[in-house]
Amino acid sequence: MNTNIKLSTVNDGNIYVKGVQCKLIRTNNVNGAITMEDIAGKTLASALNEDINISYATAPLDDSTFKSLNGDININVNSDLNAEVSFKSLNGDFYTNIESVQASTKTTTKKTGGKRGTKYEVNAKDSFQLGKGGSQLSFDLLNGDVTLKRN
Amino acid sequence: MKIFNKYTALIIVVLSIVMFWSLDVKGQQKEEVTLPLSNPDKPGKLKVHLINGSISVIGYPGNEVIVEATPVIESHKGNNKQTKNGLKRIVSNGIRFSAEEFDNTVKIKGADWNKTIDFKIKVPLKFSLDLKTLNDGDIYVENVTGEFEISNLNGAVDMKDINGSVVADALNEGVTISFNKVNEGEPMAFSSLNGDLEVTFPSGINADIRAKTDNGNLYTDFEIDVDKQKKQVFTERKNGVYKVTYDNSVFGQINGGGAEITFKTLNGDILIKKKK
Repeated sequence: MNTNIKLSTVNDGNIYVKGVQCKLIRTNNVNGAITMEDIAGKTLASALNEDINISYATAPLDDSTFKSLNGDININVNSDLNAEVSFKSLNGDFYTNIESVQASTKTTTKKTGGKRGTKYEVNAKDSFQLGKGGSQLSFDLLNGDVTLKRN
Repeated sequence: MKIFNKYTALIIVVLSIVMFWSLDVKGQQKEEVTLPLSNPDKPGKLKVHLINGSISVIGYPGNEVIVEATPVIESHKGNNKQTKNGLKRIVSNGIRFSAEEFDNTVKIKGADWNKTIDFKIKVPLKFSLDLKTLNDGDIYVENVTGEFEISNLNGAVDMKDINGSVVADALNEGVTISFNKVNEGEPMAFSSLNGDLEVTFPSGINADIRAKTDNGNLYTDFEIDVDKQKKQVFTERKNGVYKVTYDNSVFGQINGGGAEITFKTLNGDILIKKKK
C-alpha cells in the first residue's frame, strides 16, 4: 500500500495495469490508451490522444486527476462514491448513473490591479458533488466525454 | 381573533422569507461585478464583444459600471446526447468572463466561445459604447449619452432615449433607434441586410439623408427635399474594362441639410420618423 507507480510511454503502445493497490499511480501516455483494472489509490492519469479506462476496486479516497485531449475517460467504481468532481471539457459532456449529484458551480472572482487598470476575472469550473462529497476528482478534457459509472 | 391575525402575519412573513430565499438560491448562477472608473467625472467607454449572448446597457445616475452576467442554459442546443450507455448527462452552467477597466475604458469579454452569456450592464449616463455580438442575442441600449458603435449579426439592435451619434448594423434583424438629441455635424450610418431600419430623430435635426433599399421602401414624416438630380455615378477602370455603376440611393435634405446620415438595407424598409 506504500508503493508508488509511475508509468510513461509516448508512441506505439498502451499502458495496462491490473490488480494493484498503491499510494499513488501516475500514468502518462501520448499516443496510446491507458487501461487500469481493479486498482486502488490516488490516481494521476493523462492520455493525450486515446481513452482512459479505469475500474476501481475501492473508490479513490485521495484527490485524483484525469486528463485527455482527444479521448474519453471512463471510470467504474464498485462502491458508493463520495467526491467533489470538477469537470472541464470544451466539446464533451459528463455522464453518470450515480443518483445523488448536485451541481455546485464554484465561481471565483479574481481582481488584479496594476498599471493596466483594474481587471476582474470571473471563472467558474463546472463542479458536482457526488454523494456526501469528499476527495477531489478533476477531469480535464478537450474533445472527450467523461463517464462515471457505479456498477 | 387578534392572536390569529398575529399568527397569520407571522406565517406570511416566514413564507415570504422562504420564497425569497429559494428565489435567491435559484438565481445564484448570476454573477455581478462592479468596476469603478479611474476618472469618475469624465465620460467613459464600454467595449463588449461577444460571440453568443445578448447585451443590454442602461444608463443610470452613478459613476461605476455594474456588470451582471447570466449564463443561458443550453439544453435545446447542439447535438449533445442526454444519455450515453444508460448514464444521464449532468449539466451545470459555469460562467467565465473578464471585465477590465483602464483609463475609463471598460472591456468585457466572454472566455468561452461555445457558451452563451447574457450581459446586463449599468453605466454612468455619459458613456460611449462599442457593442458587438454574433449569435443568440439582441442588443438593447437605453438612456445613455455618447458615441455608439453597435453591431449584431443574428439579433436585433434596439436603442431608446439616446443622445449622441450612432453607427449601427444588424445583418438579419431590424435596427430600431430613438434619439432624444443628436450630435450635430457628426455623420451617422444605419445598415441591415434583412431587417427594417426604424430611426426616430428630434424634429429640428439638420441632415443630409442618403437612403438605399433594394427590395423595401422608404417612409418618413419629415419634409425631405429629395435631390432628384444627384445620382452618384462611380466609374472604374480595371484590366482594360471601363465600368460605370449608378447608385440608386435616395438623396435628400432635412431642415436645410447637415451631416450625412446613411441608411442601407437590402430586404427591409427604411422608416425615418420625427420625434413626437
